[in-house]
Amino acid sequence: MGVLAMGIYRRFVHAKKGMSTVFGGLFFVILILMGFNLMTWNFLQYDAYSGVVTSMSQRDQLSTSENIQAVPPGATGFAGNSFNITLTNLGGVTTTLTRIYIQNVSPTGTLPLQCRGAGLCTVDPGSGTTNCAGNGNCGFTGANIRPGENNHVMKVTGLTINDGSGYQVIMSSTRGRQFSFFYPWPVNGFGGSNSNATNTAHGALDVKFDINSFNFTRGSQTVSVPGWTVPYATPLVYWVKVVNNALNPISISQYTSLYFVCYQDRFGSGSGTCNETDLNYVVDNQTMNPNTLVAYNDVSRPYILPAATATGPTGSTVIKFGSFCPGSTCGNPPPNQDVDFPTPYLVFMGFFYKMNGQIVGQTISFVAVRACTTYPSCP
Amino acid sequence: MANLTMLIIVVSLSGLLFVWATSSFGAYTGGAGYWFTSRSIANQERVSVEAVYFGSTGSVNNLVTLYVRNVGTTPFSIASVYVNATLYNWSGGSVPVNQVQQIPLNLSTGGQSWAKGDLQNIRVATIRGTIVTTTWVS
Repeated sequence: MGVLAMGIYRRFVHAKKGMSTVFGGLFFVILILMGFNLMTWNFLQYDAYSGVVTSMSQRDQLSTSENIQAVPPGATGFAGNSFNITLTNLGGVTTTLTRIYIQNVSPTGTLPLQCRGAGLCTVDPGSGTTNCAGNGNCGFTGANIRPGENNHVMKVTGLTINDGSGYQVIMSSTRGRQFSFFYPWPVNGFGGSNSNATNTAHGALDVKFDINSFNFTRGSQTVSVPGWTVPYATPLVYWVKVVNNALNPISISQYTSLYFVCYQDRFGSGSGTCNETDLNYVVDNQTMNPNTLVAYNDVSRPYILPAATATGPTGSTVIKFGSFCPGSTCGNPPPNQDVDFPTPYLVFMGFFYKMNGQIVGQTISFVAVRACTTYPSCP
Repeated sequence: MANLTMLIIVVSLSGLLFVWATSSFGAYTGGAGYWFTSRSIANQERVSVEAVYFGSTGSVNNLVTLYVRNVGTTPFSIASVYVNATLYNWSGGSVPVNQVQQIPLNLSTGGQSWAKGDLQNIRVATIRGTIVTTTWVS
């Protein structure tokens, strides 16, 4: 046995050269294969991860493509314990609403108490799952809104929100987006511009008060000057800078006018009793001064105030007043207008305009104007 | 004899290299595999804070209720809620896909209260590390 072992050993020792290279090469190949295997595994893992990232990114993209807007006044068709919510899909994908949250946001202590605080109302699709207002389960139908669909009506059952309280309505989509509105729709909304903080307006039109928002020209002036004080018994053209808060463009009617009411200022420059009311109708915007009055035509050359956006009005428009008559009912050029007493006047702005084909009448709060004999020195 | 010596050297060094490579690759695949797996799952989480309502206990404005929906493709569990950077731990269990979890918080436990009209910064974190921050008016 020992002889046999020694024989094997001698044969091995005297064998061909290069066995170490063979073994070394073999290990090298094994290492290369292991590295290749690792790379393959890494690629597969990364590919799977990238697949998840891509699919979730597409999901996020679809989510951000959702854009649902409630159509004013938000809720309509109140009947019994149901009402409708009218929606427009301005997004690029079909949107499915999955729950509506309704919260009563009226001041504490006012009635009714439904949907208030922790007792908020949750309205689920179909026949609903919760008795949110004590009238049976609250549900809604018509949850799927196609892209581009206008005036989609969703019927909500189980409660109403026209009880005089203020409600915040939040609609959640299946992709995790929230769309909301307040009911009753904000008074100055007419579409929901955010410029409500400015002042004066009770509707779409608004006057932003600054020193140049109420100007006038006289004689042959072409550059207007502030109209808080004016010369009396002098034809004038008033330049009033207005903005449109509505989300629709509006067209000014020829019956829009400034209404001047004088009042006696016992300590001013006037004397005697004033008894004057004057109307200054809107004139064409080509008018520069009382010498160049151009009758206003609300059909062929109307003042069009562009629609506001969600961030506020789109610029301002100067509307000119100075005609004794509306439009060209007294000829063209129309007769001009002045104030006859050197007293203060309260000026009401009676605006008529068309929005979405509807005539709207709106009074913008008055301004005060002092007519003086000593203008421009008008203490 | 030289051949035998070289052979022993090559085999022993190759063996050492093999062991090192195996352990290194193993460590890498283990770590990377865990990372890919956990990130893949975490990346499928989508948390939507649908609604937040503010309530009171008597005259104390201390209650906040969150409605959190799972709009992702995998269930998640909410670990914590921060209201204006104050932590409120939450253990409400798993939220299945497309389901809502209601999270009532009592701000008094964090020494807080809310004031009407103030901005409330609310952050929701899942146990996988997904964080969603929203701002609400109380």
